[in-house]
Amino acid sequence: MMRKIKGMAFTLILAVAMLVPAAAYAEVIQVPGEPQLYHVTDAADVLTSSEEQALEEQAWAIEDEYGFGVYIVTLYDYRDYSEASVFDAAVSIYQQYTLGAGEGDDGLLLLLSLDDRDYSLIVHGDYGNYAFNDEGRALMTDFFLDDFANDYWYAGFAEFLTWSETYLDAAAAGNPYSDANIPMSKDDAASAAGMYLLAVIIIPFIVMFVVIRVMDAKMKSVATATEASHYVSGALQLSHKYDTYSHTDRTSVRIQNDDDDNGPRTSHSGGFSGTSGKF
Amino acid sequence: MADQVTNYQCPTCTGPLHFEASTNRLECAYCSSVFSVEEIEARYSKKDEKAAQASAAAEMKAKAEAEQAAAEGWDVSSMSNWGHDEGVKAYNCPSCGAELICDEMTAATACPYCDNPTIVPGKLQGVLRPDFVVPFKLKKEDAIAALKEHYKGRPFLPKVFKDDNHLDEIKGIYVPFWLFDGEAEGSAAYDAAISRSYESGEYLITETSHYDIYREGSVAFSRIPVDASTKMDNDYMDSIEPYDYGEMVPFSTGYLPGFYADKYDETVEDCSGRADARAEATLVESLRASVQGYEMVSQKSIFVNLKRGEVKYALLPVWLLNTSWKGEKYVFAMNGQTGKFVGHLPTDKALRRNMKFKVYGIAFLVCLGIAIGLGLFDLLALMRG
Repeated sequence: MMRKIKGMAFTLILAVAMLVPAAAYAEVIQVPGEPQLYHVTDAADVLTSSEEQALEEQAWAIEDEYGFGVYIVTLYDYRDYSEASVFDAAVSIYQQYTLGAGEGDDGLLLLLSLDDRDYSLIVHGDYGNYAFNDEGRALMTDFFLDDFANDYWYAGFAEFLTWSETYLDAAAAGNPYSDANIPMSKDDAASAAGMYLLAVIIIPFIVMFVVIRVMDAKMKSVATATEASHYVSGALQLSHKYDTYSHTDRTSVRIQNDDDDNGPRTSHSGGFSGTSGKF
Repeated sequence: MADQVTNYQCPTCTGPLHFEASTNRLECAYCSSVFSVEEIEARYSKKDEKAAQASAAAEMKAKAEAEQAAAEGWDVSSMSNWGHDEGVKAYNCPSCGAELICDEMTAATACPYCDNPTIVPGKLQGVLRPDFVVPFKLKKEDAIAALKEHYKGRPFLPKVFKDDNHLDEIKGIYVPFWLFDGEAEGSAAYDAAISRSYESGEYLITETSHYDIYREGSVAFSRIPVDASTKMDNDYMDSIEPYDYGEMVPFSTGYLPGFYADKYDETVEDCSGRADARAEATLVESLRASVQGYEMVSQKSIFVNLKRGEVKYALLPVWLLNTSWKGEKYVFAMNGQTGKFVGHLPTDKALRRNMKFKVYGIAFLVCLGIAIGLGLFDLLALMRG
């Protein structure tokens, strides 16, 4: 019963969410075959209208420049769209509202479901899957999931859009982000550069210290003898020996894998690829 | 009154004899006649005994004269008495008659005037007679060549030291050693562990099996050498070990001519602690080495008991080389049997500083190159946005 009430409330909110921006971006929803949702649909009502507006403009600018749709949807509970998984819910929304840009309906959708704090980042189309491959998506979520975990909704979405643009730049340059080409934030870059510079200064010091110590040792060849192995007649005569088993300590650590509830999962279905998990 | 010392003379021409390391025989410096050690020892043993008796008698006579003078009321306390008050003794060289002033412990030396090798009577006889001697196998020239070899591959050795270095002194010395036999027995207990990891379902399981280990055993030692001369640096004597005892022979004064020799001035009791410590450390290490097959071993307890055995007195050959540089004395020692050469070398501070800069500079450039290769510039560009 509760689920039904929540479902009806969601449908109502989603309808309002579609209608309100429609006044501003009438051409989008009124043209047949065009996306039936705006770039930012805050059904969970976590953003202020000005934040929503700012994000919508940022997403529009990306689509305008790259011909690639980037979408944000927040829901109370993704199960209102699919009982199966948050990935299926995202795919369902993407298809139901004919999201995507260009002939291949290329696009990226970030769905947040606040009820159980689930997310799914799905991508559609050949170019979309090229620019936002499995590895790249998994890396991308690191940049904004922390914000969502702390309820910094606007900051997280802004970060998501900024990184989407960066990923599209990298793909356009023929070098999409992946484990072989890891994306980095300015802060991360500053930390990494700092580490590199520190290493460039410190490692030579360590090398110098070791080399000079070895060379110093070559100048000294006199030392007190501490043992008498040269003068042992025969070998050690063991008169008594035992190795007795005492006890065994056992520790078990759960192996983290993609199937973990809290870990990201990668899914593929009908031209869609997605990375889903908890935030 | 100066005592008489023994000068081993050639039976053919009466020239001075010296022990030749390469032939293991005594050779005449003038007529090149060669004699075996046994031959010369047999010829001179009676002479050595007489000289020792004469020396003892002279000592007693001098003591009696001093006591008589004192009894007669003369104050003789300010008179020098070599060998009693200052630890030195005077002898007459039988070859040139010059007076030799020797350390009280000196057993063999050379006359500073005629350079003839001389043996001081009584120092290595009777209860003071060594059991064994390892004869010199290497000559003075070998020691000098070894010193030059020692300079090689020393990065901070001052060039001036290497090029213009003049040896102040080079001496072949028979150094007195105590050779300790014995046995170290003991027991030790250890904690040991082996770990293994495996996956079981969703879990990584690590099992660490612990064991109580016990070892009890003994190690027998034969002839651990400890130098018995305070004049010799213990570290240097330790560092030129080991000697090949297979070439050790019963002592004979016939091996001494041409070399210096001292009698011991540190007793067995003075030196036994060093042999004990080495024996104990070797047993502890041997017991630990017998614990195998574990990933982690820690010692819980150890008990060592030392059984002392026979102690022998031996003279072992050492070449000592002295040099000085910038007011500092540098001593080198070479095992007169095996040629093992040791000695600290001076460090050129400027060379060392330059090497520091060089090593740092090269390492810096290599690290910078690697950092650039790994994308340092990209990171800096990304930082700047």
